[in-house]
Amino acid sequence: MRGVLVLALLALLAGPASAAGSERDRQIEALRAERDTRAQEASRLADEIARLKASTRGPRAGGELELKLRAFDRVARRLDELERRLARLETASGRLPGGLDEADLRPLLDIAIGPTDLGPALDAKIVLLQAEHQRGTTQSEQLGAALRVLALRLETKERQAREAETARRDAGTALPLLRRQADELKIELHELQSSRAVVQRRQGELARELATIEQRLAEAERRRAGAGSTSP
Amino acid sequence: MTTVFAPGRLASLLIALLSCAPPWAWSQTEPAADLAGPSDGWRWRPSLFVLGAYEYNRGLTVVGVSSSSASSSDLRPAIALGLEAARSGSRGGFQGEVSLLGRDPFDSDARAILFDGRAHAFRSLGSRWRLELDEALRLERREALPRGDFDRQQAQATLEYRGARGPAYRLQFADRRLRLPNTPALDVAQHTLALGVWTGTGGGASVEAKAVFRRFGEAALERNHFAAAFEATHVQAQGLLALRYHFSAALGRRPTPTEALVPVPNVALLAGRAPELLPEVPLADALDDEAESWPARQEHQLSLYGSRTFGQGLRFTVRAQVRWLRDREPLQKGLPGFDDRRWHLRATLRWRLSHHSALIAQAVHASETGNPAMPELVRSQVFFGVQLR
Repeated sequence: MRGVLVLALLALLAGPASAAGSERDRQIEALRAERDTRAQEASRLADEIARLKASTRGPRAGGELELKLRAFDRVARRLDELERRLARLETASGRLPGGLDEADLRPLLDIAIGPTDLGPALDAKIVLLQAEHQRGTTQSEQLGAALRVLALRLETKERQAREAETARRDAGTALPLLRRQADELKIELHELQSSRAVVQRRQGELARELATIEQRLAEAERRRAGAGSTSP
Repeated sequence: MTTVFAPGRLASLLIALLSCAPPWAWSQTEPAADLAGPSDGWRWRPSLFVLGAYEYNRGLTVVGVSSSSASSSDLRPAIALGLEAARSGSRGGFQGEVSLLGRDPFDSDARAILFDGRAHAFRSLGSRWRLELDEALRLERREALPRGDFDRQQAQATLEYRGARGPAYRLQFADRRLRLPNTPALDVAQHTLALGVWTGTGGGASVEAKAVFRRFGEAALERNHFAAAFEATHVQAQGLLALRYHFSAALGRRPTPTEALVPVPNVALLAGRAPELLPEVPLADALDDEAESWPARQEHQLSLYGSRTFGQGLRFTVRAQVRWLRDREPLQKGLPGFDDRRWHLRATLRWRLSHHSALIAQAVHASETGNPAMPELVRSQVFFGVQLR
């Protein structure tokens, strides 16, 4: 009887907790989905801005570039907001930088070619190596796009931080909210810099992993070609 | 009344001396990218200003500050030295500035020295709490007008709580003291307790509303005040706009001035004694905040700040303030209060020539009316010069 009561009590306590947990998970999922959409939009705008910047001469931005920069600014602000809300909901370990998925940062498989790998075993490893190479190439493109977006967001954020910092110094104690705003922008800037460092680090690792895979793929194909030419 | 240099305040004073910030043209300088952004180490930057300062005054003769006609104007050199320090990371940061401005430093009769220092530090305490500490110190000395010397110090602590959703709640305590070494009757001390609600920086905009309880020191007749403030800012990559409205009202009835309270004669006599009694303090800092003023029955203040960057190196800044104090407490007990109306405007143009130099031009206009002892005070200043860093 006591056991039943304890179980009933546990169920009562666990019910709201799990409901709160699932509500939180739903929020995180919704926020991540919107962040991904916004990140794609930002990536597209960053590419267009880079193209327009390359074709613009002089310090003044052209009309189209100005419009794109403003549009990027709006998207970046929304991304800031989404990341801020996500940061409050997610655990530190579950947080990923720059709007990336876990798949974007997962290392490529280390597939070694052994001296006894021949025939179907070698073919299977070649298929695996090709799949990993494809995944690595896609990941590299995604990291490149994330870095382009982060670079532009950092540029915008640095200018905002400088504006707020100048105003904070100039306004003194008369406009105290400017101090808070300047602090917040510095922290956001720091988080963006940390995200960029993580993505850059992963990009470096990925380049090494891709080089290794290409080397092994070449070796495996050489071996298969050698085996084909020596077979009767 | 406790003085600004009381032993209990030594720690905060040391913080101020080790950190600090610039006045007038100096404070307009744009921080270098390396100082505005985060870093894990300390960054220091010294700076030098060589300026010409043109000043126009009207109304000071009424109180005997100016010697010649009803208005005066002159052009004098000014030099400013400063040092900035900054450190910031993902969980906290510090910014400090100290500056020393000397107007006409080589003329002992006209020399004016202004020291200004500010420090701001913040630290996240876990994911929800945050602590801020602020210290500001200002000292002004004029050789020809020692009665106008003043020291001002403000220390402030803010504790902020921000949940997973919704706004942040900010509890602030501030201690502010204004001390006139040669006119101690005008010293003012003030303690402030405020609770604010802040929306955060979503979309670059930020709004805060807060209720404030202020208590003035023994020298003030209006001891307790209720105040409310609303402030909004919007930051963009090319500019910034900030607006603040502050309202304050005295709590309780004001003691009726009587002959028995303080035997001070009348306003006319007060005006006659003005050279000794009324310093330039009300206009010494053309753009100060609401907490500076002496208590009033009711106070309204509107502050505006806007800046815009053009191209790579040109920056234009405007700062304006309108303040209306109804039934302001007189400078001596026993006199009736009066309505004090002030407005200030400052415009600055800064043109960056290189990473180490910039041209600066700044115009300030301040006007104060309503005080029966000095019916109209007008001061205009123009600074122009070069900044080297």
